[in-house]
Amino acid sequence: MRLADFFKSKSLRKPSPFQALISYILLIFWAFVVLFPLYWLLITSFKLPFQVNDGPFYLPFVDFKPSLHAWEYIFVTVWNDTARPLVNTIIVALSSSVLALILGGTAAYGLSRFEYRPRVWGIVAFIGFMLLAIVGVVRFGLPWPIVAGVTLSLFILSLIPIIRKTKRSVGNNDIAFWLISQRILPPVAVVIPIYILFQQMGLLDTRAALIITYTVVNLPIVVWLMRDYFENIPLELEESAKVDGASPYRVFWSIVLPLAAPGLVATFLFVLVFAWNEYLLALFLSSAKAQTMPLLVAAQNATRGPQWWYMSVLIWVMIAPVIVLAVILERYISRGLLVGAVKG
Amino acid sequence: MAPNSPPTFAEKLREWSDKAAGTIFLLPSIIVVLFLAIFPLIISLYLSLSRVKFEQGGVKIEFIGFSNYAKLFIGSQQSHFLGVIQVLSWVEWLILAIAMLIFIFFAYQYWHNQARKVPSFIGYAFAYGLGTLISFYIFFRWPIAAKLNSVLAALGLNQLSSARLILFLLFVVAFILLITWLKRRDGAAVGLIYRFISFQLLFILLWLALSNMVSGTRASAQLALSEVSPVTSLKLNFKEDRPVGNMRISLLSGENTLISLYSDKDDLYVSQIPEDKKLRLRYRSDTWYALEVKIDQERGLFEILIDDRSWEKDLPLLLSNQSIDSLKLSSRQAEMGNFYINDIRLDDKALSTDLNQWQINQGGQSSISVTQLEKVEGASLVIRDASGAGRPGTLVVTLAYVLVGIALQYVIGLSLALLTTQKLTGRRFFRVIFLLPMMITPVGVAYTFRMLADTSKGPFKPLWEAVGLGNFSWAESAWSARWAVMIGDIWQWTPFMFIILLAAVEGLPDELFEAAHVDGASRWQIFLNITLPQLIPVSATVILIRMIEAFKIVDLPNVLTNGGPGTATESLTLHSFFTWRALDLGGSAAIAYILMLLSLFFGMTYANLIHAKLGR
Repeated sequence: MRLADFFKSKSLRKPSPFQALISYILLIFWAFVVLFPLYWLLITSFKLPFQVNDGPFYLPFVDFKPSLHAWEYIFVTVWNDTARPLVNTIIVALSSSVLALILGGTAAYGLSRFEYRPRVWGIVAFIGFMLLAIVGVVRFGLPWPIVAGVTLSLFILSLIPIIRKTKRSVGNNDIAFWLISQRILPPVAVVIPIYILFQQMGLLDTRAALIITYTVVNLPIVVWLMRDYFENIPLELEESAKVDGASPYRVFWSIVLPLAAPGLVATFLFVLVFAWNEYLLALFLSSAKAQTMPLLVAAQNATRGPQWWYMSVLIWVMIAPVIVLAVILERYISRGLLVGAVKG
Repeated sequence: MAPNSPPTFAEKLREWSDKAAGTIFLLPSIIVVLFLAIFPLIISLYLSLSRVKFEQGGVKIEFIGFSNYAKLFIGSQQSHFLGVIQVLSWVEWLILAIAMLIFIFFAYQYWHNQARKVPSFIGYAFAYGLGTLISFYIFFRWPIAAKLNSVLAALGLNQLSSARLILFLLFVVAFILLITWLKRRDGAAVGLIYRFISFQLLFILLWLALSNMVSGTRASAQLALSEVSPVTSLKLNFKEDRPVGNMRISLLSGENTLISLYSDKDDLYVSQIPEDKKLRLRYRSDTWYALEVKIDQERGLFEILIDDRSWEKDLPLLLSNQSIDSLKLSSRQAEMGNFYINDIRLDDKALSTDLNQWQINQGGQSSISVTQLEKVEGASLVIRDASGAGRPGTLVVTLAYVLVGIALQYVIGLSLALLTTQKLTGRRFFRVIFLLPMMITPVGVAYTFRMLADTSKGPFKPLWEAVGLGNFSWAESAWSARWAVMIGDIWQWTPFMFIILLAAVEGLPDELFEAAHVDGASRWQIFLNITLPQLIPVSATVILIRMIEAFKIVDLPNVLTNGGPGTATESLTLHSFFTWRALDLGGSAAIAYILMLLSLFFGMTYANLIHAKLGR
């Protein structure tokens, strides 16, 4: 090989050896940046306190003798303290993801297959009556069932002239945009009323509160991702099924869902990760009983000080399942996100 | 079934449900989102205009107008929210002037593209400028506001600035009506005015950021404590009748900081406290050691021993009709790390709500006592007076997180995407690796980075020592703490940019590149002229998505630095959370609403002015 060949690439995507070398250096550097924190976390979990405090030791078996002491402490000694948040997190993440998938999936299907034309003035009337109801309850302290009943019936009555007289309406894209744009809302802007609501209902610090809230927070992501999956499924199959007399539900259940299964799985795992890692809402809505893993990890410093060895174990317990998911799902994630990004 | 028999109930139901299928598919989501997102959002707006109190058997909500907002912008929370605003030097004015010229250039370019002439541009710009000035006049100077305030007071709405804000909002409504009227006559002018408004808000934010960054004059003095006495009590007297500026007091042992106290402008006055009130002291400590806090007063001393890291303690107030002019802090443990007094409250009313304001001022003489119970060798007291220096509030800090974070994430993500689309062996391995940080819980990321950044036992200790920063504590200095948060954020969210850009780069057609390659274009030319332009639509979208998410940052600063030192790393969400925890639900909702408006403003401006242009 001549020296010039070393710097010259044969095709555009096939780099020359020199370029390949530079690329590998950069890639390995970033891989180091990504992996080193995880590595450090892992070896710290096998260290004894003095091995952490006496300065950095890098290599197990060479620099220090790994010990299972921290793992044993978390999984045996204080297992009761660890188990509850872990169980909470699993239950909350799974059930909220399933709920979000059911609600969001059907909504996304509806938005990709049916035509919706809600009247603008109908929406205005709804918001108006809702404001009236809130003012009635909050400002004037009227009993809420009466207010809800009265405003609801007034709203339904007002729909009749609205449907007869007005024409202006919004379309599917507007509804989808509205649903997806809920992501823009900072959670902290809605969590305080939710906090008060759950407090009044006695739901604070329960799994139910977290499940409900996480479902709502993740719903826009499901709609966003699943709408594209459904839109990419060819219509022919559904149409032939409809001709054969299948109801829309049957079409959705037996034809569309199996076809969309990969998308459903990817979306499910995606929102599962979000729910698994959620911190702020749990911080507001739970304290002891419904404590989730992110809260437990975050609370470590407060209760015991920086005992890195225990913390590392807990963090690994949290991230190990997610890392496994990421490795399996790399393809789905990029595809799912791209579809949304290009359209969104 | 006979063809003519009337349909049974089940059939009717089925027919109806088939017809209503679309509604049944969509409605549950709409209802859920309405009730748990839109409904709370409206209530949140109401809460932000109220004072919320928890009482036996319920919540008491009292409407107080705009005072929660006024508190943030012009009241006691100003230096927390907007930061310490200082007079700009000529350098900053120059930056502002350049920014203004750029803004005008963009606005004019738009006008020019609409095939419109210069005089009308100047006319609109002049009219807009005049409108702005009038609105500022109404907001800040108009005496009618005061009169209206007294009218409002008579109606039971006697809150500071409500009248000004109402007048201002009326002006805004009039302005919107004017624009709708204009729109029928001149669509281009509406676009121009929209740009003016966006630019003006960006300009104000830029001005705020610059005035927060003014460094000011700094003075410092050091006093070795051993010179005074083993149990040292030091009193600093400020004779001048002027506010004491940003002040930092550190108790040092050798090079290690034992105690740091921060204080800002002296807008804390404690006087005329009725006897039945309680003084509440909140504190925050970086370490978990027990702390003993003594608050020394002219006629009494109250002591508190805090064994755990707790947030609030009520102190019995021994003193009446007497202002506190001295605050004594002492620690049982010699090594206690940073200690901040977060705020001092009288019942639930914040005397000083800013986390690092604790300067107590009385009649032009302030005194701060720092007591050390055990003698520590080589301890010394460092006093830094940095009056005249600006300090970013949570608003500017959040913007810094968003803008710096996104810029770096995009550059790194794009480079990685380009690197991994080359035909290299093992690229799939790299892709999976690069994806990982995105999936990891931010709380875990925060602790991991705290561990890594530890200069005394972290993995980079040899590196720190090599560059002479062995004893440097990044959590001590505001900017290094902010960078720690930003680095964590970049580490976590670069994968998101990477993964989307990667798919976009892979989706580009090969033919163009091959053609350019055959024509002898260099890789750099190909990247600049072919790859980058084709990636712009996806880039614009991915930046928009990240921007929306980045405004919500909370986990990292809360766990990594706990918002400190002082309030240096607090994001708006964290600010809102701390306010909520102090049981000021109305104030918390107000901050949340401002955050929402800010992120909406940035999202809309970006989507309308940049995304629409690039995505085309």
